[in-house]
Parts: sequence; structure tokens; C-alpha cells
Amino acid sequence: MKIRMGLNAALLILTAHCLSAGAQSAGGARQPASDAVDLTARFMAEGNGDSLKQHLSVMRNGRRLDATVLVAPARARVGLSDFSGKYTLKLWAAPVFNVGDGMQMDLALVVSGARRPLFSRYLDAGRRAEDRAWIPIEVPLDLPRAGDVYLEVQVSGGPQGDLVADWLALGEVRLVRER
Amino acid sequence: MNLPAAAALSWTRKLNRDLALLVLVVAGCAIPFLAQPFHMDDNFYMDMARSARAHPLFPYDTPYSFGGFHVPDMASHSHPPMQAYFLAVVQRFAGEGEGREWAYHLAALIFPLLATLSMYFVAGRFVDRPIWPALALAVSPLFLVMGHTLMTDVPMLAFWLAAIACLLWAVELNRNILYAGCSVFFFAAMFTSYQSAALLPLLGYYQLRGRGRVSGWFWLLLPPALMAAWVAMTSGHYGRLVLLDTIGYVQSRNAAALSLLGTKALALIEYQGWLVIFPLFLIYSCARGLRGRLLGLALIASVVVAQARIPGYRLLDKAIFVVGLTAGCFVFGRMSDAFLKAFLRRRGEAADGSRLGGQFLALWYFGVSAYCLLLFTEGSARYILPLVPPVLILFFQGIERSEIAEYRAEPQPLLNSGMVASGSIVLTLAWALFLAQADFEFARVYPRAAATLTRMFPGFKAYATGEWGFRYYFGLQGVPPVPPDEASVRGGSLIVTPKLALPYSLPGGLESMTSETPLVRLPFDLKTPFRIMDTHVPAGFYSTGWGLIPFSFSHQPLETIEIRQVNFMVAELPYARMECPGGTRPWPGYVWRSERRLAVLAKSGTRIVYPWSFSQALSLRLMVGISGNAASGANQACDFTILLRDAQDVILARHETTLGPGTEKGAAAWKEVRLSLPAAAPGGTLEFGYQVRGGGDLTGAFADAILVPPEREK
Repeated sequence: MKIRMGLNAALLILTAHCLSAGAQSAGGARQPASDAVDLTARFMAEGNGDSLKQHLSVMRNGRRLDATVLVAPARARVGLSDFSGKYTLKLWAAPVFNVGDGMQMDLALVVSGARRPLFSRYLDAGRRAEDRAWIPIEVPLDLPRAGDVYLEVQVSGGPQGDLVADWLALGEVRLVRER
Repeated sequence: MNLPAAAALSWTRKLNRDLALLVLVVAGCAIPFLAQPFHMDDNFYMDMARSARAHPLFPYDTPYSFGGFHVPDMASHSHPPMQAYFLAVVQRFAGEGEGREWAYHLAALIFPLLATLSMYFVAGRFVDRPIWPALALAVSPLFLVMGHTLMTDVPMLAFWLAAIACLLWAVELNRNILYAGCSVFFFAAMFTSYQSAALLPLLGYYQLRGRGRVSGWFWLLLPPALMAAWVAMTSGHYGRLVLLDTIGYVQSRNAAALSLLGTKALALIEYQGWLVIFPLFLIYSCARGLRGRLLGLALIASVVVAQARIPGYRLLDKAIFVVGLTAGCFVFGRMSDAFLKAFLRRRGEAADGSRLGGQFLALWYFGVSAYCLLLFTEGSARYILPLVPPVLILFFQGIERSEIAEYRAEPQPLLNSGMVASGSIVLTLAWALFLAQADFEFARVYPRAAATLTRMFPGFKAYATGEWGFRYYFGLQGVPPVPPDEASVRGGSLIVTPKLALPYSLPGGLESMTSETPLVRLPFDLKTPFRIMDTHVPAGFYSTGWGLIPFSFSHQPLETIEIRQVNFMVAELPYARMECPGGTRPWPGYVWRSERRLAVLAKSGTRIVYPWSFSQALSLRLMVGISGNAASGANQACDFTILLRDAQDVILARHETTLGPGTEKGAAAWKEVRLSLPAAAPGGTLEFGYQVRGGGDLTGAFADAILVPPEREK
């Protein structure tokens, strides 16, 4: 396939958030707590590495986000041990495709091996029009001072067990300190 | 350098005759192409012109999409709005629509005229017969092809040349009015293209070294100051420094990366070799050193570069590359020689004026080359347009010098200076007309394609996923780009995608509901085998993304338009009423047999009732089948029912079919269904039912459903 380069004269400039993909480093590098920390590109796959795709440009209802995508069945984690106190986890979630029998998304906080469910949602873009969009999610978090703390995202198939096109996109995953 | 006295250009009969000839040539070359459809980025400037009419002070105040990306405004576009304002005026009086292109091209003729006449006056400072370089510019392939578009390149060149002409003569004649004229044209050039800011050091150098009057500096600095004020005002309005995004975009494309610089440098030379003067004359004029050995060396070097850089090209394309590179290298060599002579020659060897003229031309040429290499994200022939004038001036300066030498030469050269000068004009014109015709035919593809779609699929909602003239002419036929909110694209809509005109992908959600196999594939061929852009051959006149040579030959269709359909059953499923006694609602998915089919899957007893909003008669085609292990369904019969009802529940169309997996031979395979759906008033329903007789858990599939006009069914 030949390179499809746009001609300069008609190229519109993408906004900064589209161009800054890759600026964040993956992994659990120590991060000074600030008002909002972007976790989007920090997720690490548990098990099969192919089930996690980072920096995919996902477009939903006119909004294009640099997303981390989980391909069901998948589980991914991001370390939160550097943070403590009251935070709000804010993110956008969307099914990448509109086919399949839906998928189950579960968010949990794992503290020293113990899992605490935070949020669950069945996403069914094939049958629910409202799921054909970025869905805003906000979860309050009270992060302990000590121990291994992870945010865990799990994606599993729908009720018919059909894993076709069960791709979940997560965009602008941010940890916002409560004041 | 020969700088004739000012008196030489007094308003004489000769001058009138020369200017009239230039006007005739420019007009004569343009008239056959006045009907050229809008092409390449013309569409973008037409869109911006519409925006300028709606928001005159801030013409970028319109949300826009390009290549599937959506932005809230156009302010960070790579060009200021001069051309948009010009087109807005033409739009106001000429209107829009197919067949009105001539009015735009006629109005835009002012730019090639201004460029050519200005070139005459610029050349008048460097050669005895300025008509030759001016004529050569008018017939140069690059100028001629670009002169038939609405993009900014020729307007920018026109303002460049006018600004330069004014300054050269302002310094010579010490006239304030010429400085003011220079200032106006300089601003117009910058307000057309940001890169025209490069004029400031160029004009400033001449003003400084030519000892122009002090007030000239005011006129030279006024346009950049006004431009800075405009950028500040625009940035204030949009709440961001708009040029930062433009620069960010260039950086994001790694414009200064070594490999890309190499591509751009090769293209820069290649374009000069083919698109300024017919290469035979460039080579004859510039490559006569060392009794032809220089030419031999350059050819061998070009062959080596071709083998290293484009090993996959056809032999013919490699030959085109080698000729262009060789000719371009001689142009580059001639300009480098001029640079060295102008800057390194000791004072006293030539008159100061002559030396300054050489320096000016060399700075002009290398300045434009530098920004073409460093600022742009790819190579394009049109980017090098501003360096054509110094090349032509030096070319004809060389011919004038040879003319003097020929008086004493024995034997006379094969082609004397007069023959080279006139031959180069004539052959270049013929060559330019070939390329312009190829571009004209390329442009004509898209109005034809848009009309074909409308004829084939009347009444269908459709969306275009491409740019250039494709976008413009499909837009005229009511086929807009895919909207930012792709969820607003309803089932049954058509997605029209070109192969050449910057096709782009649909958002994942919409793509997953769209048929993989096109309903129709429409190839569009040209009458000429000349190609200046093509996906089959590496012709990359407008962009090195397509290839490193400015033209090529091909007999394959230039463009292929694919029409796909958003699967009605899948896309509209959330809006359908579902009855499913077993509790399992039907869902969209894929069914694999010998191939993958997009289907709505259902359990026994399911009814799916879609609201029916189509008013025209249609034909429904789909495949019905059993998903999973159909052989397990021994002694079972699977009934598929399709009903179209009107708002009063009267059945308008009906189809029933039964599959007997496990009992009938071949029944487990897909069965094709074709159902004519008559025209109906809104408010009806299209109902799909699936029932398994004899019990069991076989999943039924309604796959690859498409809606087409009844006449296509025949």
C-alpha cells in the first residue's frame, strides 16, 4: 500500500492530544502525585500480551481518543502504589466495534492481593445505541498508604460466549486528587 | 551579469508588444482548460471560501474534517486566507455547481497574468530580452498545470514576482511608489502562504546591498508587522497560537528526518529536470562541458542512484527518473556555479550591480530550495514553483552569452542560441500541454464518478471517504464526508471510497457494520496514458507519497471507486423491536463457513421488527443459514420469514424459506433470498422471523443483508 500522504495545502492540524501519543512512559515509574495523572498508557497486560494494545486512535461519536484497548478475554493492571489518599478515577470507555453479543467490563482495586470491585458495566454496542459512544466513568478511590496497590481492568465475553469483536477502548484514564 | 540601464525598459512599442504577447500566450494556454473540474485541494479552498463568506473577519470559524479527522475550526491550516477571500468573492457572483468552474478559472487567470508580466519586469533587470524568460515561465509545465487549479501556488508566485519586480525597480529608480507596491504584494504573498516570509531576507538583502532609500525599509517591514498582527488577532480569537499547531504538525511528520530529506532532495532535483524547461534543452545548454563527458558522468551517477533508490520501478519509470535527475543536476550545478561566482568572485572583476544581481538570484534559488527541504512534510512539484524564475533567468542569460560567443565560434554549434531559445519555448509548451491534458482528464474523473453513483443508487443516503475533487463533486451530489458522530450514519447508507483520492478508514464501530465486499466497483480510465498521479505507477507530481517521478505512463484505470453499504439489519438492531421467547435477544456477529459473513444471529422463536423509513421501492438481498454445527440439527426444520408491512399492518411483501439441516442434502449451506420491497409510505415495518420446528437450539443467521434499487436487481 502506498503511503497516503495528505497534501500540505489542505492538511488540517490535529489537536495536541492526537499528536502527543507516546509521551507517557509505560510501567510503574515513580510519579509525584499531582492533581491529575494520566494512566492511559501505563496499563500492563496480565497473561497474554496480545490482548492489550496501546496508542490506538479510537473514534466514537465525533471524539477521537488515544486509547488503550483490551481484547477479551483480557486483564490489565496499572500500579497505584505511589499514590495515597482520596482520588477520583475518571475515564472514558467504549466498545471499539458494533458487533458481537457485548462484553463485560470490571474495574477493581487490588490491595496487597485482595480484590475490591469498583465498577462493572455490560457494554453492548450491537444492541444498545447508547453504547455506541464514549461512556464516562467516575469512581471514587481511597488509596492506602502502604502495600502493593493496583487498578485492574478485566474484559470478558457476553452471555452467548461470543468473543467476536469484544474490544474495549479506555481513553483518558486519569487519577484526580480530591481536594 | 548584465544589468541594462533603466531606459532600456522605457514604455516603448516593443514593451507593449512583449506584454501583449505574454497576455495572449497565458490566455491561450488557459482557455482550453477553463472547464477543468475542481481538483486536488481546490475543494479545500472552496470550503474555506464558503466559511469566509459566513465569517468574513474570522474565515476559519467553521468545524472541518479532513481525512477522517475532525477539528473545531480551520485556524491551524497551513495557509492564511488570502485565496479563500478571493474565491469567496467569485463564489458570491458566480455561485457554485457543476459547469460553473469556468468562472473561477477565468477569475483566477489574473494570477498567471500577474506572474508572467511581473516576471518580464524582473527578468528585465538581468537579461537583454526579458520576453524569453517570461514566455518560458508562461509555458513551463509546472506553471501551466498549476495555473489551472485554485490552489495557492500560482497566486503566491504571482505576488512574489510582483513584489520582487517592484523592489528591483524601486532600488534602481529610487521611487517610493514602487516600494509601496512591493509592500502590498509582499503582504499579499504572505497572506497567501506563510512561506512567503522568506521574501523578507531576500528583498532585505537587495535593499541593503543595492543601497535603496531608507524609507524602503519601512515598506519592507510593514507586511511582516501586519502579518504578525493578524496572527496575534487570530490566535487571540481561537485561544491558542495557531501557528504552533501548524509547526507541531510539521514536526510530527519528521520533516527533517534524514530519509525524508533525501526523498525531498531527489524530488526537488527531479521536478526541476522535467517541469521547468523541456530537459533536452536543459541538458544541451548546461551539459556541454568536457566534450560530453560531464553528461556521461551525470547519467551514470543518475543510473546508480536509480538502482539504489528505486530498484522496484519499471525500466520506463527508471528512465524517466534518470533523465529528470540528470537534467535537474545540471540545473542545480548551474545555480551553484552562479552562487559561487556571485559570492566568491573578487570585487572589481565585475560591476557591483552585476555581482548583486547574481547574489540575489542565487539566494532566491537556494532559499526556496532550503525551505522546500526543511519546512514541507513531503516533496511536491508545486512547492518548487517560486524557484522557477531564477532558473529561467540564468538559463536565458546563458543563452545570451552563448549568442555573443557564437559570432566567433568555428564551426557553428549544432543548435545555435536562437534555436535553443525558441526550441525550448516551443517544445516546453508542447510538453506542458501534454501534462496539463493529463491533469485535466484526471480532474474530470470525479464529476463522472459522482454522477454515476447518483444514477445507480437514486435516493440512497451516502457518505464519501476521500478528499480532493472526489469530495467536492460527491458533495455537490449530496454525498458529504462521514459526519463526526458516526452513530448518525444509519443502516442502508452507502460508503463511497476512492482508491487514489486520499481514501481514509471509517471509525471502527461503523466499519464493523459495513459490508466488506463492495456492492459496486467502478473503474475510471483516461483517454491518455500520461499519468501525473497514479496508484499503479510511481507518478508523484503532487506528492512524493505516490512516487519519485513527476509523470509516468499507464493503461490501467486511474481511479477505482468502491461503494459499500452499512448493513441495515446490524446498524438498525438497537432501534428494532425484538420478540424472543427464550430470552436471548438477537445479536450481530460473524458466521464463518467458507467465508466470513456479517449476520444478525437469532434463537428459535425470535421476531425482529425494524421501523421502515425508506419510501422508494427497493430490493432486499441476503443469505439465510444456520450458525454453528448445522449437522447436529437432524430432523429439524428452520423457518425464515421476512415481511414488509405498511403503517396499517398490511403485508406488502413476503418471503418464507425453510432449511432442513441434517436431513436435506446441502440444506446446511446458505440460501440466498431476494425480495422486492415496493414503495411504501413511512411508518411501516420490516420484520424478520426465525423458528425451529422440532425443537432444538440451532441459531439462525440473516447474513450479508443489502438493499439495492430494483433496477440493479435486474
